Amino acid sequence: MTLEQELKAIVGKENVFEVAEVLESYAQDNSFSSVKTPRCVVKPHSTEDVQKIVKLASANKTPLVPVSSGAPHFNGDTLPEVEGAVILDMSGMKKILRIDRRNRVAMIEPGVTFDELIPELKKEQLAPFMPLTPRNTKSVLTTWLERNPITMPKHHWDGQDPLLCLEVVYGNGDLFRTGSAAGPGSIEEQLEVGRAQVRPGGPSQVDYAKLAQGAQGTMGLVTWISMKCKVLPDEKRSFLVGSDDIVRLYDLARKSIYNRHDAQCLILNRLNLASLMKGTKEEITALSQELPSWILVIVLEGGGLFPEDRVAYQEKEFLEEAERFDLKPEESIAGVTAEDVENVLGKSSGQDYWKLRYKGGCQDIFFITTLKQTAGFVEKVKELAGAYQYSNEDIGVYIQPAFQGVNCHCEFNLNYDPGNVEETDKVKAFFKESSRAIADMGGFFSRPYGPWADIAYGAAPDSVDAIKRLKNIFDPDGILNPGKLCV
Amino acid sequence: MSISKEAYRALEGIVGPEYISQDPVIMDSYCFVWGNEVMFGDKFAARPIAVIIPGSAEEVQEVVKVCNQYNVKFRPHATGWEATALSAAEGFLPIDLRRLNKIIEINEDSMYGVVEPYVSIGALTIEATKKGMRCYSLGAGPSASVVASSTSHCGIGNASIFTGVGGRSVLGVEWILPDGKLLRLGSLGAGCGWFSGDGPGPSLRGAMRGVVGANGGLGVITKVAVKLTPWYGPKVLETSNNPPSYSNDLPENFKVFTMTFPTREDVVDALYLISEEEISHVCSRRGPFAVASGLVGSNEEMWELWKKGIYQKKCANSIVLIMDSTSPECLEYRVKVLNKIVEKTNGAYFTEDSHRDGGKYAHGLLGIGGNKGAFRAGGTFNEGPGAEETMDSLLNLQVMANELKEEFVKTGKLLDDGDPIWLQPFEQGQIGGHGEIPVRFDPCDKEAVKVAREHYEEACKRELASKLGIGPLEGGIGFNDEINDTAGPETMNYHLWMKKIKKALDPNLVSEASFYTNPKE
Amino acid sequence: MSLEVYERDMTRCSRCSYCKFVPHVKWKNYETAAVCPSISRYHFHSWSAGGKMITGLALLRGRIEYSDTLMDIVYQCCMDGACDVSCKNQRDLEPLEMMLSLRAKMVEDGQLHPAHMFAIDGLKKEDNMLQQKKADRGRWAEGLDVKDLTKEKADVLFHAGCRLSFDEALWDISRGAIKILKKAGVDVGIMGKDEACCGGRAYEMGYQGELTKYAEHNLDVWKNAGVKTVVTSCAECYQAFKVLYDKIGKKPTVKILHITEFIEQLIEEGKLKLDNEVPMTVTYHDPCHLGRLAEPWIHWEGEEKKVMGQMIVHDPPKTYRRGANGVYDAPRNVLKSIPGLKLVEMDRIREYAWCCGAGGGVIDAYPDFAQWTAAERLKEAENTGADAIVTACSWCERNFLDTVKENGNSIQVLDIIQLVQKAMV
Repeated sequence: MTLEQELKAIVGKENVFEVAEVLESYAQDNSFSSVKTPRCVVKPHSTEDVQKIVKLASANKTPLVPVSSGAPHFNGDTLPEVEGAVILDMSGMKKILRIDRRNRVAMIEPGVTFDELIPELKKEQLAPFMPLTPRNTKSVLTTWLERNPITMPKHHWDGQDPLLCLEVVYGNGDLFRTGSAAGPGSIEEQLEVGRAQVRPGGPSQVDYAKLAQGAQGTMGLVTWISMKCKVLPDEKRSFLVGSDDIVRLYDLARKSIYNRHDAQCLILNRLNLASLMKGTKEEITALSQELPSWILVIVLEGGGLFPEDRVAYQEKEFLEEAERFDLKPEESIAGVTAEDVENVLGKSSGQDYWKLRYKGGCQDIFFITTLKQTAGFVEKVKELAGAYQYSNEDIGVYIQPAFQGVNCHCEFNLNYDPGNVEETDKVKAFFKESSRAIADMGGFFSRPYGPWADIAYGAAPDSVDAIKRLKNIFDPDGILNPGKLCV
Repeated sequence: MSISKEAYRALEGIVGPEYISQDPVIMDSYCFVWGNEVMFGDKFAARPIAVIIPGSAEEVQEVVKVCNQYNVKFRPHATGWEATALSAAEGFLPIDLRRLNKIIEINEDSMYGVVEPYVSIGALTIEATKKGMRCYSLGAGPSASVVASSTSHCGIGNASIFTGVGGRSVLGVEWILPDGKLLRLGSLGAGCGWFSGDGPGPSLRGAMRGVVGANGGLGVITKVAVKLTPWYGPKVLETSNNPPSYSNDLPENFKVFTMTFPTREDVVDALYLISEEEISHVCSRRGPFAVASGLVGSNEEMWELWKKGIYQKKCANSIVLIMDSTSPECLEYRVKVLNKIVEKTNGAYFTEDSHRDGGKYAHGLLGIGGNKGAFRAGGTFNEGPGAEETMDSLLNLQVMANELKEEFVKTGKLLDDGDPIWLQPFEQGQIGGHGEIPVRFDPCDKEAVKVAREHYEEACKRELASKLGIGPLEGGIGFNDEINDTAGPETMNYHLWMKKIKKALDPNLVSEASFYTNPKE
Repeated sequence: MSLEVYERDMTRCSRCSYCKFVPHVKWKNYETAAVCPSISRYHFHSWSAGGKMITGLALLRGRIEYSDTLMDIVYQCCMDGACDVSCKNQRDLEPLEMMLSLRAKMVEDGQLHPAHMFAIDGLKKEDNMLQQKKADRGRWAEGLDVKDLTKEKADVLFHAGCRLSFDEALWDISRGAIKILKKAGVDVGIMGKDEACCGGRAYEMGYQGELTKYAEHNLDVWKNAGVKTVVTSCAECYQAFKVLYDKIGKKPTVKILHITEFIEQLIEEGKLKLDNEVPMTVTYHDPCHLGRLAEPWIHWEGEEKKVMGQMIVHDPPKTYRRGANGVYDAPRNVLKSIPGLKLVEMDRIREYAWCCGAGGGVIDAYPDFAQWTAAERLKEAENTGADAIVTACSWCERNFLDTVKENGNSIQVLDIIQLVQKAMV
């Protein structure tokens, strides 16, 4: 039997794809990554399917590239880097396995999207923590597996959040569950005694989830996760705080985080806010011109026993602090209401992904730094844009305080027209040089997609050595997404 | 196990003769710690083969390299304050890290602190407090090390509901692997600073520790950065009274409450609500004995208080809560919420308790514990069943553990202190919490030590059988191969993966692993 | 008490290391969190109180034998009792008493420190700890118009102590004390060359019989002199008279006062007026023997029993000395009475003060360690911005002065008596 035949025997022939069109669709994304066309695409529908496929691939030394989100992809992590790879498309694994209101936890499979999860959680008076307005095809599971930041820094206790436990198939086909989900006992037995797979660490003296997280599928294929959720807020109060001085916005954001306000808290530049709120390039351009350079978005959320009181005291504190920093929180700026922004933050981007609305193409540069350092990066990228004769007005910026204020996700969105070869080439070069410059200035590419791998691992040879040693344990045949990261 | 003259000379060459010893008089103080009698049947575990006190991370790295060269088993300890921090069945080289004692940085802007191993939780807390921050809470007390509790051991305390836990507060780490290679985690490794411990790519924090750490069985951590959390109290806490009843004056924006409930179920319901409403700085269910012992200065006083029967009757199911606030409106709101919670969960405020004055809860305000509650009564304690998961599951643990304890209390060899379970929500309840049954006894009483050991063994069996957790040590003291090999087959065979990690990072198996794992399958 | 009495305490030590630090609620700065000079200087755990608990147990169990290392562990310790305070803030254990018993056992077993032997030989011959001629003991008072109580009667005996009797550089202090008392109209006298050592230092070194000998002698002398009050400006003598004599069943019938207590009383009674401005900023060093070690002795005899299965209590109930009842306020009140003087506190004060380094026979046997300890204290004092470190113990003063001379510190070292004299019209 050929590999394809064996795969069909596992998942059914309707779930194995070999036609060129399909294969090509898995060989492209919005990044500048190099790519090899996969050998075939297989769509499992259960953990057992995944296990069997991995065992088969292991026996045949066949590379497996996991995919859970639908197109468009952006970071190159789902593109095969070696010949003969099989795409393992888990987007069809769409079960929401459990929602537990009392423990504020949900368990989901890889194919579940935010738009699918939100209404189900709402029925239980829960809501997911959100990344910044994800595309509608984005897998919730991979969002957290790849350590995307959430918009509520208060609840970002650890870099792992909101991911708790996960089920993973390692490169030899062994099934494992991390954290308290490991046991003792099956998941059913655990539920029987009141356990809910909420403890992320362990089992015992290893944090297996952390080793699988941020690994772009190289350390194991995750078949479900448990994730923490928030109580659906009954009361909200939203503000937009505009300023041309980003540092003052940091100070206010920092104070809100310090006071542990129940707040979504993020900073956008005018282009990104406009892109989030408007549908066409013209509308975006028009709005952008009216907005201040930087906008701090604060959404105070109150749930529980006295939601109004909860929001009220936090609002009072926030407004007093704003006054102290000589900033004016507004309900509306340039016709954009804070409530509209709040709504956009609470769901996916819909059919048209907001990052593609302005020019049709977008190359992100994101990394971890501290709030205090972000201004320096902004200046540097501006300076480089000038050198490339790339308009600063085409750069979106998103700053997301994370880890309860310790660090932040800093993101530059380089918008371009993918139909314009000259502009595309310019952005490509600008992207590469900016990435290098950011790293040289101390920006940390913690999720080193594509060319960032060379930058990040080049600076951390001791990590490379350790990761390789661990990779040999969890993927002894080297079949899991080879070529990614440093392995 | 012994050390060759050549190895000793090589080690001496690194630190100088003043900081290494093979004198039995000195070595005996490196095999004595409180958990020994239960683990090894005697206060003294096996005598070390030598003791070394390096003065820098560079010296530590050199020491580790020499250990690899000469096949010398080593195990580091920071302040040495844990059940088995420096003991094993067979002698090894303890690396005493007390000279690595610097607070390297306290960063106000980014709310983290960077420390060397001998910096204690008390030290970092006192310095961070001056800047409106504090370290994660640690029940082991102020002499416990930040590095040890965050990277290598447990790291939880009675303010973990607000401060989070040590293991999840870790940022950049400087780690000398068992083979002597230097590994710097996260942003530190990339030369970007201390602000992140995850990446690039997978987070190697996962190999460093799980629910607890490797207890020194996986190399030496020489620096760590940890997240600091907000502190809304004064920059210097005023104190009053005399030893043994030193107290902190309660800041104006803080309040202390002890609440009692008719049933265990009500306690757990209240803990769920308090967690979700996010109104507390310190919040835990402690046993009536622990609650009362915080009020008295000696066992004699404790006995007088206990004889009155107030605590065991009225505080059998109680919660102690310290509330902080960011504004008067915040405090008003939080009190209103707490009143509602107490009402909804059939509770009442325990007004006889002078905890309400705040003063007696000095360690609670600091959130860094002490050891009188655990050690003063009988002389020592050991862990019964313990686990970390939802409060509902810990309620089941509470029932099981108390039934078990009662069987052993009948012997008269464990303290008859009512239901002593400590229930501790973490991170506002979003990752569950911690439950632990301490059993107090006299280490001088050989029969009591024997009973404590039997209780521990039975606790392991029952906890595993009931699917509530891996064993008594899940929540604290430290795993070992015995526990891991028993629990592993019931728990996804995690022990086999752990052994592989150990072997991969410690190819010569020189990092002594009595309380981690040995890769002999 | 024999070392065996403390076997249970030693076994119950948990190795928490609290004995190494100021009680944690009293920490003000990390750099001043340490409270034990021994472990701070010598690093190996054995040098801490907890380490000595372990060492004592190992010795009792026959795990270790006497050696030079053991000698150092036991005697590189000022016996200042700071560890005891920190331990007892949490536990019902007696580390300091255990350490005293360990020293006594060593002496009993003939394990004598050479430097201490030398001092004790001198004591036996000349009744002082400074290897000086007994005949010279009264020289410090020459020219003072003060009663000789071997010939005359007075209400108050001023006991100078060995250090102030023979250390000429410090005679200002003993002579000053007399001048102050006389100025306040106190009927005071001295024993002159017939004054003898208190025996306290010898006791701390492990020569417990010497304390008994000198207690009996001194009590006898005081009785014969007919004094009502014995006042001393040496903290070690004060602690021996007040605490140790009581501890060994020889509680004085006369009133024992430290000079600072007496001066405070005289000021309160209006007998001593401090009207001169002394425009200085000073910080006060609590001598261990005037502070925590001067807490009155609490006698207890009985047995340990268990309640609630395993809780350790005593029959009759035992009250522990935990260090807070020493003399802390009197010296401070005196300083506060001096016009123009500003008192600033160091981080480690009162029952959790850092030792000067001289006690427990360290200054005799390990002078480098004594000075190392003093240097740490002087650094702390200098950090307060004070012009002077003021104390109320001649041993502290000597050690500080030697260290200042060695290290070139800028801070002055003064006794409270010297400041009171300046403030007197």
